[in-house]
Amino acid sequence: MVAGLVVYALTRVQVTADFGAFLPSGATPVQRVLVHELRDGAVGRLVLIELSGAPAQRLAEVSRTLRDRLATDPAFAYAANGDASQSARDFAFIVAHRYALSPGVTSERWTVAGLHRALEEQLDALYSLAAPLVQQTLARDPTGEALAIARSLVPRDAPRSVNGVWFDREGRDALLLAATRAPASDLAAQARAADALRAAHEAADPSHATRLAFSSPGMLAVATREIIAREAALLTIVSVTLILAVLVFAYRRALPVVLCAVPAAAGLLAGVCAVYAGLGHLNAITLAFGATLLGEAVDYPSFLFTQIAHDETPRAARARLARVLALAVLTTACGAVALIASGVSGLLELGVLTLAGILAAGLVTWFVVADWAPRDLGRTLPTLRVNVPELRISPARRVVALAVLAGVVLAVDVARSGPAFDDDPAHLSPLPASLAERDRAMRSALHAPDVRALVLVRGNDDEAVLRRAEALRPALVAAVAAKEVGGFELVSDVLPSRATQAKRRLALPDPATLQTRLAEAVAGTPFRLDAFAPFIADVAAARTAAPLTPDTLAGTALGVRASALLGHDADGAYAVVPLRDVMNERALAQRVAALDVPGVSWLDLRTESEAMLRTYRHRILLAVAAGIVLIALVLAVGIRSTGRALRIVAPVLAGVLLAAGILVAAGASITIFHLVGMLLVVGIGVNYALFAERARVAPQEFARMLRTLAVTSGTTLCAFVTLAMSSIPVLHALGTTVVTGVVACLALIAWLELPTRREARA
Amino acid sequence: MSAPGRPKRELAPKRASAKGSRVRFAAFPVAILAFVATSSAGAAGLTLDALMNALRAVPARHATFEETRQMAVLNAPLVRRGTLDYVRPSRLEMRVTAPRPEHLVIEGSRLSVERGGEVTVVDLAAQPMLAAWIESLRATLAGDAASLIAHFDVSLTGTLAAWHLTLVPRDENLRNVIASVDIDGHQGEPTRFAIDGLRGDSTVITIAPSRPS
Repeated sequence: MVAGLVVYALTRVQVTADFGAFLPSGATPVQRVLVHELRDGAVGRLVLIELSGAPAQRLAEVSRTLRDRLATDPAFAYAANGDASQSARDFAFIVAHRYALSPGVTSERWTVAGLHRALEEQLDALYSLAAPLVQQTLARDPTGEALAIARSLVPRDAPRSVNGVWFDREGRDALLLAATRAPASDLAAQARAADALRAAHEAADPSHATRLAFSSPGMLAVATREIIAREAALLTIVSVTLILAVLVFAYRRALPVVLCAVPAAAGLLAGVCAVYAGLGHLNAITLAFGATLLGEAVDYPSFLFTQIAHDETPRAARARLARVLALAVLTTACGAVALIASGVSGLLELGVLTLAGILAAGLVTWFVVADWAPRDLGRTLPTLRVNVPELRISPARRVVALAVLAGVVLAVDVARSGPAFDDDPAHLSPLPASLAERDRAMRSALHAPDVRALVLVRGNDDEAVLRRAEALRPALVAAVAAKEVGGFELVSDVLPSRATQAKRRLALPDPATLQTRLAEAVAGTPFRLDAFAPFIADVAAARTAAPLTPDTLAGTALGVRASALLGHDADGAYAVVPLRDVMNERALAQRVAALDVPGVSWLDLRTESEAMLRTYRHRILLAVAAGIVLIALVLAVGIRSTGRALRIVAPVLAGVLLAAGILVAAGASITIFHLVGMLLVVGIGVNYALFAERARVAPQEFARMLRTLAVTSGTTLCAFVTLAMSSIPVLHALGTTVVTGVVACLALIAWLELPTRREARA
Repeated sequence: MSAPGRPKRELAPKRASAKGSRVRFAAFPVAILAFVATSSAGAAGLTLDALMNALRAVPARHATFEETRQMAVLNAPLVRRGTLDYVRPSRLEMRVTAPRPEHLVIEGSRLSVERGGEVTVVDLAAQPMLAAWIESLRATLAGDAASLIAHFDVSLTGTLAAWHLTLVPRDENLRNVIASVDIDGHQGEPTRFAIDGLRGDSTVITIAPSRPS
């Protein structure tokens, strides 16, 4: 029955599953604890296992074999299924260490009066329904410490037991709980543990009579990675095919099409190397994400090719376009610099990958592509025969209209009580809904309570944390009495501080004294003094017993709980105190705040994680803004004209604003990934505006400009429309943002740059 | 874990060692087989069906009981007296009158215990051990074979006039506390419940039917 308590170790996993590995490292100590727990904490190691599809008897049998196998598997530190043998071991452990664990062990307890009272209580219990339980340990433990400890540790609603093992509420599926040795963040080890689990199930049930399902933060991360990798591969194939189709249609020759791929490939290679060299690791998700960002590099050869005049060699075109090409590369690089500067760990990788990749792609385009391109490419390029529509609106009015549009979009956004930002971490999880749902169902079947608030106890080391936890206890007990909270889990209940253990040990009388006092205490009760010889011996042994340590607890349900509740990070040690059935959050928070115990703080996980994402988002917004300023600066310096630089940046900015407005109006709430997408849009849009603006200055280039925009926006839209089809929230957000943004930018650039009748004639 | 000195180890090897949970499962079909064999043994043997029919024929019961608990740590047995009421299908009421009053009402899967003015309500569905323990009494009084078999390995000897039912808990957790329950009775009236604990401890409840006052 004691094994049931490990279930409580699960209380915080809920949050874990919602988080991705891309979180920032946290600004406050509380946030650092949160992130550390999610990545490396014991909670992240817990695996929920479900067996289904066979009669209860068979399921129970497989559950037992599976548990035994997992218990000896090196990938797992612990496995439990509510089985009696485990419960019996846990109870035996409690009995053996009862005088270190029991809060009832005070010097009071060992007086004649105290002993007599304890005996009377036991006698009373013998006259009740609990008699069979009391009978078990009475001779060794006449003060009833062991049962009192067990009772206080077992959750009120442990999972249901059928055929002696845990089952779900309906009694249909058998449930097990295991803990991996590797932290949740070690995805390779998590994948190996998942394989070991499957193999153990295979061995436990060779006839495949039962179905195995499991869930854990680490293994969900593995599944997520696999899903993203699979989907990214599929999306890549689709988008590459589409892009090739556009390029083949545009160039009608093999060599230019092949050359278009060279900078992108070189950029990806350079990006990966740069990330490894600079940061030492590369997240698979970053790679998938970065590859799409680098897809933009396909545009560089296209910028060059589509601009080649009829009688021009590619080299001559390169020389003519040098400045524009350089600016196109540099402005995108500015966006990547902004990602790096955001100080967000996941985005750092992405920024480095993009920066190195874009620069490499630019260099390859400059030094390789132009030299290898067919000399007569200009002759074979298709010419766009479009009747360019004319706008009979003066340029000045267009600028005013653009400003008005931007103003209106901003005003609408502000009017809806601030921009519709979404800081719910759950919505950022790349986890497919079905997997998240399964995780929730299992968690609920194991009666893991829904906890969103907890108390955090910090200290320099374990002992300091445990002492503070003990000091916190009376306040929590009072809160339970005041019906502010249903219950709590305190690590010091399973692992008392050394000081407390020493105090309890000192309270134990020596055998002779105990014998004398017990003889007196027994008088007037039906108990026989000589029957309590095991008691006297146990107390004598407890006086010299070594103190309980985390190591002593290892392998027991108490150990699982202790390691789930106690953690270590760079700032020292900390204990999390999960709370059950919080009824009056404010009163409880005040009670904790009013406590005179250092290192104790109230932690609302949801608020805290949302605050974290808000900070995160502010940083990215800042980075995006800084990126835009940087781009404008680069442009102004590059073109040597502030006016022209503004004219390039203005429609892009308005386009990004418009796109955001459209996305929000369409019901999307803006996540940090949308913001990253916006930065990408700025990079792409500025490139388009560069060429468009150039055509305004040199109207003879108008037709070529149209060709350039048609080809490059064609490939870009192919890539990001494919991405928008993704079921993974991150990729979907990126795809929709870029597609909407690029279309909006093109429309506004056209609005600004379409010739009036007079210009068209000229 | 073994119980040396137990008078009879009936039809199936039901004893399971602490680790030998498989033995228990193997024992289950054997017990059923043995049970079927007993059932079809012919006119001489009493079948569980026949006994259950006799028990089910009693719609309500009112009885006085006396519980005697003997333990190694006690000088003298603890004795409790009171009344017991059973009403079909699932209500069982036990009122302990002496020496320490206690009032237990079990209705369906709800158990309420009143002691010293305090009432505790327990959902038996969440307490499999307690539920099985209570079911040994209630399902017997009810003549509910299905429930008995669900919670215990059941074996039956004797005749309808003097039958003897032995229940060994299926739940290993419960078996760590209660080795077996032996019930004696005649016709539709159980008269004696003997609960064998471990280490020689035992509890006997004798029941004497009486008219409701």
